[in-house]
Amino acid sequence: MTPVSIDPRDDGVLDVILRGEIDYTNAAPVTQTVTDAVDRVRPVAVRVDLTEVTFLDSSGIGVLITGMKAAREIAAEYRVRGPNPKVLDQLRITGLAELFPVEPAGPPAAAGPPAAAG
Amino acid sequence: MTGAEPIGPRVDLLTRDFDFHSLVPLRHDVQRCGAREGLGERELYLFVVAVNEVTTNAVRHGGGKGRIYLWREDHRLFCRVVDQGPGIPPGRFGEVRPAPDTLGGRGLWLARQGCESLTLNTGARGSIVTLSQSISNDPVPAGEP
Repeated sequence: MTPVSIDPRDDGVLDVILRGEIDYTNAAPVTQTVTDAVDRVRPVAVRVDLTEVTFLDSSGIGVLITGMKAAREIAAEYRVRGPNPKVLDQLRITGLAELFPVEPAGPPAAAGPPAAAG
Repeated sequence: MTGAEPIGPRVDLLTRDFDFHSLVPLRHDVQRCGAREGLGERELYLFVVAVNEVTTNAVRHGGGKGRIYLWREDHRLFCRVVDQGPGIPPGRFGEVRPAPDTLGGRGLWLARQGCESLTLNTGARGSIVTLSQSISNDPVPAGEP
């Protein structure tokens, strides 16, 4: 299972889909994939989908932080969606849920760009 | 530490040497052990995160490898990770939550969130990290698949 895939949408949103277990053994290439995509695509918003993530360690948490910083550098919105209850718990206790919006799992958001990044 | 340990039959669950390549299968085995011993779902997830942070620390900073001991005493699950690295520097014991946007330095703090007790015995010849968590449920009966 590929731990990350990238889907640049026509509306300027960059979808980043993470899967499975993100940990010290795979976090560096996952981070690289995400930051390269942000640099290349220069999206108006980055949306990280955690629906299929079953495990995050501190390095996996680092992927989310580095992704946020890459998005902020180009003034793109950054949000995370779909963590399972255990991962959501982790995002809360580490304080990450205070850094960016965390949306519940659900059907993919309707087409259309989010509010312009300020 | 003899004499200070809880009294009760000690049931050894897992003893293993590990390195970078065995971190993930080891984590899966710790998860299976914890589930079998009766840790609840949330406790199990955070306990596995905790153990994984400590084993990963041994690989990253503790000489590249270590040995893990997992055992049960009464209604408590214990995990001890021993490495022969240069020791954990003062100020890196994970007692204070890092700022949310900090990269790195989160491992031991995260480990502390996944157990009720975490003790460090660290020095120039290595580190011993012991964590424990009480078990809320009865163990799954032996012989279950």
